[in-house]
Amino acid sequence: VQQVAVLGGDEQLLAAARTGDQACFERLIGPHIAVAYRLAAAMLNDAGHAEDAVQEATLRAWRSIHQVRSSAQVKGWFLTIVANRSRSLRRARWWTVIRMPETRSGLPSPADAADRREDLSRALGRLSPEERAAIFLRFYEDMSSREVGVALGITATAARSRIHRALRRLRVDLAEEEL
Amino acid sequence: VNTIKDLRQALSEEMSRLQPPAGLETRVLQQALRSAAAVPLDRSRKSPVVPMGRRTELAAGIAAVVLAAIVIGTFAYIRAATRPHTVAPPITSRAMQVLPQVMAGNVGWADGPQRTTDGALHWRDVSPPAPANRTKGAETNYFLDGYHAWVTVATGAVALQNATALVVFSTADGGQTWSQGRVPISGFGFDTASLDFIDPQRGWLITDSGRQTLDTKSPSGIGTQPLTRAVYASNDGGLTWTKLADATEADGSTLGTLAPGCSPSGLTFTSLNDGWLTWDCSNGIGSPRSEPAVTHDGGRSWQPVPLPSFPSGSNYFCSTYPPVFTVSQAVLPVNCGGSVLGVYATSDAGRSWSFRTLPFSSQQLDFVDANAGWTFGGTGVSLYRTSDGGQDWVVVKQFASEQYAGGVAFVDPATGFALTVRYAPDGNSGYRTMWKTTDGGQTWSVMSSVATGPAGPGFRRPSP
Repeated sequence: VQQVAVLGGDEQLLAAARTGDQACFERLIGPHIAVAYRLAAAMLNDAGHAEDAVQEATLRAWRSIHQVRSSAQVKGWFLTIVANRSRSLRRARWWTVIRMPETRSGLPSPADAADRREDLSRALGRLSPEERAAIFLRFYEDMSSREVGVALGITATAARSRIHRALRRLRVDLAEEEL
Repeated sequence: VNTIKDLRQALSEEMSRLQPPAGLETRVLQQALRSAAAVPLDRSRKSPVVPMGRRTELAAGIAAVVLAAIVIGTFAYIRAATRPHTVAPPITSRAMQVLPQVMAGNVGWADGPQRTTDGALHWRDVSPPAPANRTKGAETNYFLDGYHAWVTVATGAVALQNATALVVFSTADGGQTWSQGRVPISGFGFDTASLDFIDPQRGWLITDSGRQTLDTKSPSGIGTQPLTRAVYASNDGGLTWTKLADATEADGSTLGTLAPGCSPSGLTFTSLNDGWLTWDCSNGIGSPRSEPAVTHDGGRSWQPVPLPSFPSGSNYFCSTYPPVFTVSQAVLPVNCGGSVLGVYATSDAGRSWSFRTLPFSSQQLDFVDANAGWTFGGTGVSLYRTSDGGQDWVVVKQFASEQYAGGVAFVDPATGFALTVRYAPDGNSGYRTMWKTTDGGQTWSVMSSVATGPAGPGFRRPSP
């Protein structure tokens, strides 16, 4: 760690993490834990399961960090693992019992139901987990379509197509879409 | 019509509800790395200084104690391994909406393991007793019929640390009693286990294990070692296991280098000699696509199956699922990038395969034999059926009142179960319904329909 501090840079962190340095691994992955959690939460709609997904993904990341060639790939690579762990958890749960999205606290009164953003929020909840993940990464995390594709294990074209389809379902004005 | 600005605002509000809890980063990293650690090192403890004259004496004493412990431990282990464990009095069955994996008449199994004796209306958890020092990973179930099932559980020297052994529980009475077998270890940390039995006595087990080991030269005390893959067979219902083959990624062998980075998605033997191993490559690391492997000598050697090229663009990670055989015909589903793309089909016992594209988007295929399969797909909640191994698909049922399909599971060509969901008009609550068919999916009756989640303000019962 001391050597890394002198040399600086994520490439050195990656190099050290690849040789089994836990502290460097923590410094490399730590900044991405929060976005990973939000991605898992967006896909699973469950805070507890989101944390499980991120923890399992972190363990997998540690086990396969030697496969990463450049520090620039770390975020996309880690989010790919998180998305896949979230899918696995969803499949495992989906097979047995369907879990509904958590009930939102502070629900609007019926009088507010016409509010547009509330409608949009509910429409977001009705998207498929894959569509919700794509929308979240693109418009909340401001990732490019290519980066969204890397994280979700699909091509940039497929990512754009998925975002486009989700925007149509959300009834977002496609004329100003930022794909 | 909404704007992108509205969307960003709605996402911000949504994400404020899903903010990471306090201390998440530290907790996740510490727990993950603790799970990865092989054995905690205690470098602070120093060995007591022993005078030279007493060392030989002391060493002989320690050796005698260790030998006695090994003899007693081995005797106790053999007795424990073959003695049936009786589970605690069963918990009362509960009405649940669970898709069965195996059914024989009204008796069936689902993951857990859970068991039903009334046609999937009520379920009871019949898990074996948790062994001491249970660790994460390598948990799997295999259900042969209404009564025979196997469960694997990893255990370690220290609870919640990496595994050092794999316990195989077996039951022949529907989970009332469980016997316990154990496989020899072949590395630290079991990642996955795959089981298959062709009758109550004869079965196979494949483990992928060991990516961490002790390394005193590493700053963390942990070094990486290549994956170890081992194949075992049992002839006594899972009480004892014989290693047939093992390999590592580093030795360059075919078994060790199959599907690098992927996990087994299933193991299925069609005879005492012929078995198939398929791979889940969806974790996005390692090989983006990997052919299934096949053995023709009872699991001793494995070769990749020469499939036609995978059917998607180069950026997809593709997984395959265990083939379903009927004599020499079989179908083998393939999923790329999260969607089922179709099946590989063979009519010559797997010597050659052709690809059959699914003409719509789907998440899950369910085949009961090499010809009959079902899936939800297309628009709306439409159930499709194929009778020719995935060549042609026809809609057999449109669940018009439903909004989402939760899954379909057929236990024979006539009997199947499905889960669907419809939301209440306010979109915050809904109903989930479990359906049953006894005519191959043409007509369905409701088994149960329950409100999902607490009904919040504004909840209205959906119109029938």
